[in-house]
Amino acid sequence: MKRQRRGGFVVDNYIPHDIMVQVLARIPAKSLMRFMCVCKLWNSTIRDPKFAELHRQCSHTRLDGNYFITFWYYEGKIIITSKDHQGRGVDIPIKLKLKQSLFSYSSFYVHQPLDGLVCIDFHDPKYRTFVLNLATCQAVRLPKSTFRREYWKHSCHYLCFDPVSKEYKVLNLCEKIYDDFSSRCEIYTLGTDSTSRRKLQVIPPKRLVDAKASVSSSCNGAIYWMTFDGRKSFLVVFDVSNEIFRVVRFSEPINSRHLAEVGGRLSTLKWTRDYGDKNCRVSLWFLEEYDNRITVSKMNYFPTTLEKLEYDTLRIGGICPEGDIVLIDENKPRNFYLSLQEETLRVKRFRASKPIADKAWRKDENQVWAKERIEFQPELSVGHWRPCPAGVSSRPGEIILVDEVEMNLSRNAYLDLKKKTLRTEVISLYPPIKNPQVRYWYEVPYNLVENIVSLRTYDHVWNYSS
Amino acid sequence: MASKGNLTLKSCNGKEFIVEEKVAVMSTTIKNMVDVDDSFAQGVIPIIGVDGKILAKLIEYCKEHAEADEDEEVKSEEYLKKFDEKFVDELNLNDLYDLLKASNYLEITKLLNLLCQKVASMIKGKKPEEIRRIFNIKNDFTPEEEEEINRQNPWAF
Repeated sequence: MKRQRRGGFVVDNYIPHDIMVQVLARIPAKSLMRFMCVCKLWNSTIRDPKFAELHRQCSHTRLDGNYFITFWYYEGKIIITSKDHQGRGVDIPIKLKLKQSLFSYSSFYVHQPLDGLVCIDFHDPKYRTFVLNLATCQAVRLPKSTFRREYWKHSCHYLCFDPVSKEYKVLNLCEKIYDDFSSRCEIYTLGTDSTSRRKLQVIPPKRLVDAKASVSSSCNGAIYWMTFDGRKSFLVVFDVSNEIFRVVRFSEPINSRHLAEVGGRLSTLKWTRDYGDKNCRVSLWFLEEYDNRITVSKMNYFPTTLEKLEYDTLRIGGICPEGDIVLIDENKPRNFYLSLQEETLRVKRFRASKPIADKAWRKDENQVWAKERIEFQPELSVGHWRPCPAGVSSRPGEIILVDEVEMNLSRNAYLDLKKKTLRTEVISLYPPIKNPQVRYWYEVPYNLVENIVSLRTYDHVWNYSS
Repeated sequence: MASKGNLTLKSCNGKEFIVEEKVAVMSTTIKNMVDVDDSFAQGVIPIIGVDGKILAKLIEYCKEHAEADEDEEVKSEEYLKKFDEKFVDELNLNDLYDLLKASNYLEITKLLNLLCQKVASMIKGKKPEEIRRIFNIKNDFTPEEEEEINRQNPWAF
């Protein structure tokens, strides 16, 4: 590189490397992966974990808005596609090649994405765990658990970020549920060549794997669980940097067991009912830790007219493209939508848990529990349809139904409750596959954060190959 | 000699600019100079390596932003956004690079961010060969090494 300075003028267009780093930090991941072969200096810069951190911070400010990743099961493979909130497809060409096919499509579980990384657990006899980087299309398989097999059945992997070492880690919690509930934990650091997980000496609180909600916060460097001891809910915090568990009590009793990160803040729900009043109110609490107690920093109330509330079964599913918070009822086919701006709660109920022989659908919206019968056009053919687990379509106001029976058709139905229309969509995949016997499984809303951190492990790293 | 509250900045080719202090201290480098040594506040601050044309541009940018920081009503966020857009669009390539270096040296964070974003949007989506040509970078990989890197990320091409 030539540098010719003549009285402050730079003749050729040379940019010092420290400025170039700032420029590269603002380049989308896909272009960056290509720029790795520009020269050795650029290559080492892009691979540097510190640069990955800078790039992630810039990507936070560049992109906001929800994206949806969809995990498809196809002939023993998991295929991942993605679309933005307007339904436009964004390719994520990762294929997980599993040496042994899955038993069934239902045996995998996708956790809450963290900074563009996703952890998938396969609860089949092999108990495989993968971590995917959606920006660089890397997929790595984690080394086997160091614990004995009886612990594997009841285990859960959590992605977390250590703000001190700036590393991503995977925490595995195991429990012997048919025995004494003894629990263990181990940790694996991503981006290293380490061949094994590291056993932690601390003993995690019991029944933590049962906790319905957990939140990994990358800004706090902690994983949170809401647990219940029979009388009170309390919060368990795993401090990723110090590798310790802490139990934190609430300053006020909380009757929800669910947690979510809303707008970067830890939050939970609380259901309240005045004496003699049938109506229930739900409030969204923002939690802040102070002096080893959890205090409420702000709450929004959402009045409802629900008489019987089984709030235990509600979980925060994600944030809608319009900004509403979606609560998914795990027992009943209904979703709740909390609008933070209007401070209202809407209910959408749909009947689809059983096989449906006609086109009758019930619709309840805006707190009205009418037994209205809507006939969607065109008619839905006889088939076993069920709502998709995450329940949020990439188009606002739509409910996704999955065809359970017609394997060869591979299609989803989308009900638009406002327009009272139904559209079916034959699943299209990237890259296209002939006669795909694919079934929709998971659609996870997440904030697309481009994270170019390398997931390197001892095992081979799979990248997409056609 | 500048009047009170004003600073005199001198470019490397001898041009002098009298600017308000609030405009000049948008640059962290100048702010530190003034804070540490009072004599700078009285005399002339030499801006090494930045010529008059670029310095004038820098002052134009800082002036708009300093005024916006002081009075949000007159210069709204929207106005600033439009100003920023126009500011970077009017730059030719040489001026862009010179401004980039000058804003880095003078630590004008907002401007540096803006210009980096501009360069990033110019080069994203380009092929590696084009990048090498644009920035005058020599390819120091052997063909085998380059192929190996490409093989790892075929989806990016």
